[in-house]
Amino acid sequence: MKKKNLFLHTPPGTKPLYMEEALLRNTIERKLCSYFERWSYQPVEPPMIDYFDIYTPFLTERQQKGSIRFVDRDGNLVLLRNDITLFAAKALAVRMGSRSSDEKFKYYYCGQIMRSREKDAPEEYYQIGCEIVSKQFTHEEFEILCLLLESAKYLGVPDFRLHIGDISFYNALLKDCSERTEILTAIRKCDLPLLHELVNNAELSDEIKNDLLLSAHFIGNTNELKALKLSSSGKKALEPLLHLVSSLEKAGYGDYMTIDLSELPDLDYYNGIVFNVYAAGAEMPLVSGGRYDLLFKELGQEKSAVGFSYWLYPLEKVLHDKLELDNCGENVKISKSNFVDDFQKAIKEITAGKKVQLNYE
Amino acid sequence: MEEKKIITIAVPKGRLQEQIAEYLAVRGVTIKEESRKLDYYDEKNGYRFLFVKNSDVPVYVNYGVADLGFSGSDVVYEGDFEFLHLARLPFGGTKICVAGYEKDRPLFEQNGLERNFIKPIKIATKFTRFTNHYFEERGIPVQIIKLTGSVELAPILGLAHFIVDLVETGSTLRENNLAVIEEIGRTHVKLIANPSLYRQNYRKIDDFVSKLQG
Repeated sequence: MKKKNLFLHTPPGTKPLYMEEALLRNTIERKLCSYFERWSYQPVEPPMIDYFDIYTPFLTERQQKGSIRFVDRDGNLVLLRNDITLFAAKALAVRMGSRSSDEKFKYYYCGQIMRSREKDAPEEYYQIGCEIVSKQFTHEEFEILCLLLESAKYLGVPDFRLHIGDISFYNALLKDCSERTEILTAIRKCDLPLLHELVNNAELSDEIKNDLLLSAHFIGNTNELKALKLSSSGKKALEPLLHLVSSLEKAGYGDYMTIDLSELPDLDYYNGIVFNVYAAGAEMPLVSGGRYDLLFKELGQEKSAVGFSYWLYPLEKVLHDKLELDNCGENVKISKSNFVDDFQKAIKEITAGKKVQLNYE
Repeated sequence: MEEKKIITIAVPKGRLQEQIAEYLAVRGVTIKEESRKLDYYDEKNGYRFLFVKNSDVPVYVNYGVADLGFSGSDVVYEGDFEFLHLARLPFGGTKICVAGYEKDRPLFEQNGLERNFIKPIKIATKFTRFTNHYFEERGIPVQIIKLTGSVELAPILGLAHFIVDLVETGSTLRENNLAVIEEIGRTHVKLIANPSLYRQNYRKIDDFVSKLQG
């Protein structure tokens, strides 16, 4: 870099947005946030930094390595926000404190995070999400999925589909299995040769082995899932997922969703449904989410929690030519001789709620 | 979601490409390499094959240029991207070994078995992530030097005590008076998939996997 340009150098991974890019992001953010508010979700703004040690139990080794950490003045290791869901959950747990409350929290957030995508340099990402946290759930999972699917429709996301799985199904099958982690990883990676090897060598009943091998690669609808020849205990473990998806199908969302039993999280705090939204033209999911009571348990709160986050980078990729960006207003001419009057006219228009574009003579 | 009519598959150039083409030909899928062309479109089946450098296959799949890719497990591991591992091919597998001069074997054994860290080991390799992980897991301190080719030169020229590399017949090692000190892993050829693109096209991709296994 030339010496005179050195002061402009930019750290790898930062993503400044200019003009149309920033406008697209702002439009998406405004649309989503106002939509979430219509459902009476309250905004929260988690901090940008927090103590690293709080989050270590919730981050995979890869996430820990890919996070940005530094030492503060007092020698504490501090983490730059790398997942808003986590930071928001911790902020909420602090607010709850030791009170035993039946209060239900429904909140949304938006903001940047820094994390490394695989082995590349850390990158700036932007998340917008919604969460419900309360003592007990009735139809909250149904609500959050309706909200997700409706918000995607409202945004005009083209050709998208929600893939939903359920970690509690595998937890029920593998509750006493010492190879649980390896088996779940093989299912998540759709590595069937490895899965066969692991399942065949594991100390599991033939019934469970059969259930695992039948379900691990299942992608389909409720009828196809019902037709799988699972054991009675396997079928019982799938009942909550089937009930939820059947209700969503009944509500008219059948064309937007698929049961996918290979959808599994790489994080340990999920304990129920897990889902991602995919759309044509995006090489990564637009949305990730699930049920994560165990996170709150680790944070000292016996709560049920479910939520989702939009990832703005892939979302912008699929929406960049779909959203109408209202950038320019009506032209208002500002003359040389009478500019004060012209300005006053323009200001009147703006005050009346119009959008204007000032053009100097 | 409407499935794509074409799936794109990254194939590593070189010997592995020939083996894959031969293997697929028996299963009714053709890959023709026309001179200097970087891709081939199998119109009948709706497959587009991209011919790329072996180490670049994971990159093309990760960034969604290709839905699928054939790649050695060693290359996939070094790439450190999140993929689905849809199939293993019955050829192209090999060993990953520590190699060096026979006279240096005691140095390796002292550090490894006897944990007598008198002299830190220097290891030259293309597989830095794998090597780092292997020795870190065993608590053996090593200095890893990244090379991208002709790794055998490193012990000969005194750059490193040992190398970590793929060994098939061992003839290159023997020609350079080097020997396998220890086998530390096995590799195999995999069909990897971008997780998001797989979910957008899983029927067509599963059909390709069935052909592969047929």
